Amino acid sequence: MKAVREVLTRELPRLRRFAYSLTADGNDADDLAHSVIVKVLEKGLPDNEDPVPWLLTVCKNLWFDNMRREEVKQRHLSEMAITEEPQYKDPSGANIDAVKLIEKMQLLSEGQRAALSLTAIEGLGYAEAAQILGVPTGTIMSRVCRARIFLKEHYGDQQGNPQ
Amino acid sequence: MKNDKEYVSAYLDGELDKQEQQELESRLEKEAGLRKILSEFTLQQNLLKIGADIINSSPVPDNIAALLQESTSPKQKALTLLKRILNIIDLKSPVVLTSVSAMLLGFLLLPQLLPQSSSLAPELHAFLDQPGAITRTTTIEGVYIEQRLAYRSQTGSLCKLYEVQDGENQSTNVACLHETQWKIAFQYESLLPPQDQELYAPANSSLVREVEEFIQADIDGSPLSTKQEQQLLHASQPK
Repeated sequence: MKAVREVLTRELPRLRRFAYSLTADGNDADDLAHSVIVKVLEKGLPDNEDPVPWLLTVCKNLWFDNMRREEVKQRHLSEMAITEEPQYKDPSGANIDAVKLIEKMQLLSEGQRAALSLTAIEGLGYAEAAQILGVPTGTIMSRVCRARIFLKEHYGDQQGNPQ
Repeated sequence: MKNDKEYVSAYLDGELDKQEQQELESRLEKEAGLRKILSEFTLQQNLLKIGADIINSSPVPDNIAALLQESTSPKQKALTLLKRILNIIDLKSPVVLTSVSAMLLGFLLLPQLLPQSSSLAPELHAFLDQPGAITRTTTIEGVYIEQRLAYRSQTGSLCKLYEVQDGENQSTNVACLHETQWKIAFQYESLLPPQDQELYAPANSSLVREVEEFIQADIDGSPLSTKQEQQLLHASQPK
């Protein structure tokens, strides 16, 4: 159990970052990260395998479960709501565009959001992301591209200039 | 068949094969439109990385930090604290350990529940009536008293673990406040080892086990802070 805690402690920043990119809410992200840690402490980590994809898979699965439970709430998300001030404050205030962009990710489909998080943010290869999401590699390629186009076309060039 | 944007997106992620990469790089040199797409995707990717990592600039929540530590439940926390405050020294020498353990086994007395509050001197009452949560000390007529822990019992009473040292005699006690009276709930008496040994009770002694078992069965939640202790003391004052 000590080894599991060591892995979780080491990977906590990655776990929180991935959870935040999925939920776009600091509190929800930490709740999700907490659930992942509880689950991993309960079930353990697989032997002789890189724990990172496994952790991200658990995180993704729990997030999908949460999303299904909150589907109704998600339907009521409007573009108006998330173009206001970002919900999660960057303490320095220096990266407000970046925070806004993360919040805009909420408008992507679940699959696109997870694919973009794993590849563009976590730096995983398409094959690894495909394994975590249980889809073909080609699907990751198209989801990532569509997500990028969606964010760019619908929400400007991230410098505040509408397209 | 990939379109241009898919090529650029995959190029940014390092997912093109060598031939595709060379072809795209060749086109990028010539086509401003492709360069614009690459520039926008690159900027977007950098912002995404910065944005997602902002959560790590906020402190790790307490509930996560607690999970990542060995002890998690309030009772486990209480026991860890107890072990820390009772484990006064680290025994290194096996010879010393053996001799001291034998000595302690010979001298340690069985736990003894005393009759209620009649044995508590008024000075001790006054000491317990003051908040301090942990490591508050006093000396009453040459008898050294040290408060080690305050907690709320399963029955809702404020209880305090404290040690009394009178020469070679030492007792570890728990007193609980019933209305305005402190009553002994647990007491364990022992003899201190000779001073030249510079040793106190080892952490795995009967004393620690007995105290742990008692507190584990009696405590409700975590050990109290001084403020929480003060609130309970205040609530028990006669109106």
